[in-house]
Amino acid sequence: MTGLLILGCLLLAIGGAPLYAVLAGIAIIAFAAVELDPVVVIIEMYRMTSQPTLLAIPLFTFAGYLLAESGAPKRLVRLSHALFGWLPGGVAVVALLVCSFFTAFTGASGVTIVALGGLLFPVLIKEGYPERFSLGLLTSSGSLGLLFPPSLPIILYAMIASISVDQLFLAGILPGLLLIIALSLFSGWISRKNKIPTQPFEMKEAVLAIREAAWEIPLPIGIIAGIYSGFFTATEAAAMTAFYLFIVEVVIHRDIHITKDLPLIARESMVLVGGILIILGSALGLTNYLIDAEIPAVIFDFIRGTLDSKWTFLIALNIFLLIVGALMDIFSAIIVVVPLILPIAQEFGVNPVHLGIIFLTNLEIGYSTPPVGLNLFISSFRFRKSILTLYRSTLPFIGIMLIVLLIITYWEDLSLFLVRLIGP
Amino acid sequence: MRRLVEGIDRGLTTVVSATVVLLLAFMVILSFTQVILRNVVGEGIPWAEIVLQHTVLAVGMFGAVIAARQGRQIAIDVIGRISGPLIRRILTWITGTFTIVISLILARASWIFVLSEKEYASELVEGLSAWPFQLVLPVGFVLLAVQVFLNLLLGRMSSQEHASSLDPKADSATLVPSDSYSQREEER
Repeated sequence: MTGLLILGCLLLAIGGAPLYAVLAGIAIIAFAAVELDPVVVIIEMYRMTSQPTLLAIPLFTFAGYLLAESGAPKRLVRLSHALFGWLPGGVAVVALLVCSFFTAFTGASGVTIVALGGLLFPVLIKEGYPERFSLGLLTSSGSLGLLFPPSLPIILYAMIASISVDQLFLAGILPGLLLIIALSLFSGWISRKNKIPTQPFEMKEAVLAIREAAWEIPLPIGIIAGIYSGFFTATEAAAMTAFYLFIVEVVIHRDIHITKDLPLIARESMVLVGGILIILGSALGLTNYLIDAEIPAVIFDFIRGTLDSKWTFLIALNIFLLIVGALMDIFSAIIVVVPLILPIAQEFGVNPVHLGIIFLTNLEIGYSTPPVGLNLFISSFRFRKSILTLYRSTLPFIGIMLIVLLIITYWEDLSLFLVRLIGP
Repeated sequence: MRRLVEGIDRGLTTVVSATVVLLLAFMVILSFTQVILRNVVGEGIPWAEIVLQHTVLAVGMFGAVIAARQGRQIAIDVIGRISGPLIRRILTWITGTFTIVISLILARASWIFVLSEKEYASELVEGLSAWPFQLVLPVGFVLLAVQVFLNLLLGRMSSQEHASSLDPKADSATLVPSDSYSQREEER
């Protein structure tokens, strides 16, 4: 009976029921089977409020929305164009950098494509890049940057896995850079192949662009330096960023009108936060049940038979996570899957910080993976291209990202080097 | 009748939106003040941290109500993406009813939770009762149930994940489905 009811909930999930209702429903049914009242679900949900990192989620989300809705995208495109436009594949590299910066701040992948796609796509086409390349680039870089601080998925992962956010921020930097470098080299090669002329570096434009973006440039450096000098915690960094961006975009640049735009931006950013937090809250009850019932141990014993080493486990994990990443959005994937996978991975001797980076990289790629990766749909809407065109366009990019994923997975030190060097 | 439902729907959205915006403003200001106090004076406001964490809970609940209203609740929805309007309509009713039932069960459970916390006189910090802050849970779940019910009455489709940010008509930054914003952009 219990099994049937849970199956019913899962069917409702693929039928489009909100994930929070599905997770809470399963938890209620599972607890009822052992004669526990749904109050248990609420007690677990309420546990969220004892997490100091929780506050970083709405604050960084609000900051990201302020940034995306202001003139910052234009200023940053101009800036990176002035600084990196002279490289072979310059404009493409610009797109990669700006998209990463934005995703790091907005966390949600679709936001980058929507906010920057319209700005960058025409520029790429004008420079002579093939349409398919440009589409693929913008679709797959829609999630590039998830590995950089202060990205929301990193904070969420750290919260759920109970590891230090600061450490995970550090761990993501080198793997994130490797992804960007690999895609930049590919862009350089495409640019050569299509004989796209490089532009000379112009000192005057560079100075102007730096001056224009002078308020936004210190942000990433300030956050990283502030956290690692011990000056403030990740949550305090979020408080500083939100307040700072409010002053910069509303008071100094006046891109955002304080009564006309600001309340709407505030509301919309909290819709995303609400969507995530209610799933997080509902999942806590279920997670608690699963761990009490020792489900991870059961799964571990089951796969132990087929996967006998850390390396085969990691391969299986990669394949599993790519599928998860393609089916679910990154926040629910982290909330639902991490509590199950983490104990199993630890049994296999995978470092939890390294696991976090593997996890996020997989989900990042899963976003652009056919047939149902969310980035593909967002791009298809945004650029008004058929979904099939997008499948074809993103394939080379997915290929490159998969190679980098293998490096990240099997080269543990790439993730852990900075953590050991600077970490507390 | 439809007028009345629309009125309730609009009223609810206005109140919830305003609450969310005020709570966020409170969070931004208080958390910033706290950082400054801690680093300049050496000690912060003792109740700030725990109250801020409860504010996040409140913002989360109310944000979820607006997400429900906008059809932007996070869902997997494999079937909805590929099926026609009739099946979608039926699915919307089935999943909507399910969501209402679950939300009401959670509302009742959190009400029991609040009552017991009141009985035990739990405190967040010395002298600050916990239960008024916890009330946001039952209130939030009831509002969620009401909102989903209103959606069904007004024939809104659920399961349009990220619908508003997917609007292909919008050309500039479109996280915010606001007319005033895009108009102002054009005026420039």
